[in-house]
Amino acid sequence: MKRVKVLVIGAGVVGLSTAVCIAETLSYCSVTLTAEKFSPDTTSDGAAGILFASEFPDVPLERQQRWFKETFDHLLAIADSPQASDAGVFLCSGYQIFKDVPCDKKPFWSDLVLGFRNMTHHEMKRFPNHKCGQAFTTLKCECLSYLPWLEKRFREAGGQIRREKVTNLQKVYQEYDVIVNCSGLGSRFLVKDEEVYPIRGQVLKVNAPWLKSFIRDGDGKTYIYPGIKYVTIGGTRQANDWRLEVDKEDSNGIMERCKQLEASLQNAQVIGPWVGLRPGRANPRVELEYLYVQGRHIPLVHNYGHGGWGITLSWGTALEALDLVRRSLIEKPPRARL
Amino acid sequence: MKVCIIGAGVIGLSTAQSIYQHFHDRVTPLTIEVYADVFTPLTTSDGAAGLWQPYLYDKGNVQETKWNKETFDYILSCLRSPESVKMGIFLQSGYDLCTETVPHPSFKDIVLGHRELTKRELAMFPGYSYGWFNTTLMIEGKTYLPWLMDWLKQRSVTFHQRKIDSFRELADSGADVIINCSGVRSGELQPDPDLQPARGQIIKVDAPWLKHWINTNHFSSSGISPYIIPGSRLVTVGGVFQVGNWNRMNSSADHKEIWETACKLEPSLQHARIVEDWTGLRPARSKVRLERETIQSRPNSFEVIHNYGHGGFGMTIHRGCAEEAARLFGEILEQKGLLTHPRSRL
Repeated sequence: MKRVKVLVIGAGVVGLSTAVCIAETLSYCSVTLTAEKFSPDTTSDGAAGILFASEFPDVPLERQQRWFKETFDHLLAIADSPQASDAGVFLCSGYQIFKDVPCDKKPFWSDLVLGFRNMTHHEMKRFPNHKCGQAFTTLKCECLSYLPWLEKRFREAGGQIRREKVTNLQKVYQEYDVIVNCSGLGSRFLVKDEEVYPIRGQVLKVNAPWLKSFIRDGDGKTYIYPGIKYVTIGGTRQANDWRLEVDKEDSNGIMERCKQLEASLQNAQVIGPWVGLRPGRANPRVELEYLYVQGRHIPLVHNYGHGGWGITLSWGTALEALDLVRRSLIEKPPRARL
Repeated sequence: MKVCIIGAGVIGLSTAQSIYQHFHDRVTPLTIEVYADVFTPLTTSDGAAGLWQPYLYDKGNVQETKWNKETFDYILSCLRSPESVKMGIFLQSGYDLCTETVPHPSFKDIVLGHRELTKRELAMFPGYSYGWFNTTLMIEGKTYLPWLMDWLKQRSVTFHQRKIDSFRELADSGADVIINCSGVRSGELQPDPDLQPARGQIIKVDAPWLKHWINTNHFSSSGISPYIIPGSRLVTVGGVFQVGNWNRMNSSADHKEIWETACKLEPSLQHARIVEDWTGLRPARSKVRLERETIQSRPNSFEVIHNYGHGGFGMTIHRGCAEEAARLFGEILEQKGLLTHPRSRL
């Protein structure tokens, strides 16, 4: 039987996760992953990788919870295994604190992380400028380790890698039976989706190995995430800002705000800054489209637009993309429009 | 007034600090000298992981709970100071695991955010059916002790490397008050059948992805009760408490058992790089000996304050005990009529 040829575009956390899911599950598929950038040069590589989500306006809550839960459970199993250090996945506890917003409303993922509760009065004493907070244990997934680990898994499942930027889908239609688009911000150009826009984020990597817990301000602009080799402090959320250059004022602002939350950072040696462009979109696009090209119906599965929650939703959306690929191969494609 | 402190572990050094803080401007001259045959990084305190945690239950020893709390609150307040990193102190959360449901520990309201573990959390630790999550302090001996020594040296406290064979030896050379912080070897200065070594062996491991401590409490079995405590650089893996064992050498049999048990508890350890082993003798006693003793030595007598027997909770209780020792020292000064009251303003 002729093998079904699948092309996955994009080698960030979403692309690699999706490629692994397809290669490991659909034995009748031969999967190729193509991308311009690979680890350590993807957006995913600079992300702190703390599993944490924000609510999307138009996706049913049950579906968002499923995305989160499937990723969390998948990564928790890795964290609790001998693979943890190779994959760069581990448990991390900490606080999310709020200056103004009341903490009564529990986020949709509160039952999906571990030990979610409100902070005690004693705990809040450390943060005199904040009114309340939430304490919980979640996972951290460091893509500098996780992406190479996924790539290894992909190759072991028979996957092929092409280091090549796809600028025109027309060219790849001939060679493949199914295309999976995980090109993140690149979808703005590749599939002409104007709803995708960059949300610029700058962070500082610092050496502070005595910090073991994360602290995040509920406004999302100030956070301290202890990692394996360094602590990531941040950040910025600058919509429609395409600059990949480091902004010195941003660096100063980050350090000042983070020192307010954690005084000992004044003794931390700064290793360096990093800038990434989150693939912003009102909602992630995880859906199946059929393209009619030269007498053929080619399934095009989209899995992009995860904003700042790519790692958090990676496995869950990858599983959904896998499902769409499977469905597209079983279903009859819709009849051509006359 | 000359005070001689025997022992330069966390107890000896912190006692010197408390005495200086309370009395340097009320007794002139106040000479403080520390005598020890081992200094940091070779003391028992240096090997300790430095996790602030008393034994689960104080068995009615409310004094010790008070001293533990005093230490916690003091170190917590030091976190805000610019010195915190130099002191080797920081917060860390973790898991206390038990094999059966037990009453809440004595330190439940002292640490931060103490709560029972959820079912999902317990599922991560097969073999354990109950436990707590909480955030506590780390006090790393290898950093804290040098910080204390610097602090004391800046205030003219002197250090003397010498093994002291008797209290009288110091009394004869001019000590007015002797403070006995000699830990597990105090029996050599004065027999104490209640004082015993409780041997511990640890493995230091490079596993920087670990961000929580894990402590187990086995109530029924003897042998290993594993613990995994990440530090600022390395992770301390341990779990033996061998009462009566004076052997300071690392045992490969203990290493094997500790390592295997810890890897079952935390599978990710299997790929961690082992750096070194270390053995230390906890100064175990039914309770801390913190009291005065007047020793008759014709024609005079001299004062000794005992401050030893802190078992596996020396770092946890040190400040509370140091402050109490300073209070006892104040009593001696009062009795000798040496305490000048603070000068009145003119």
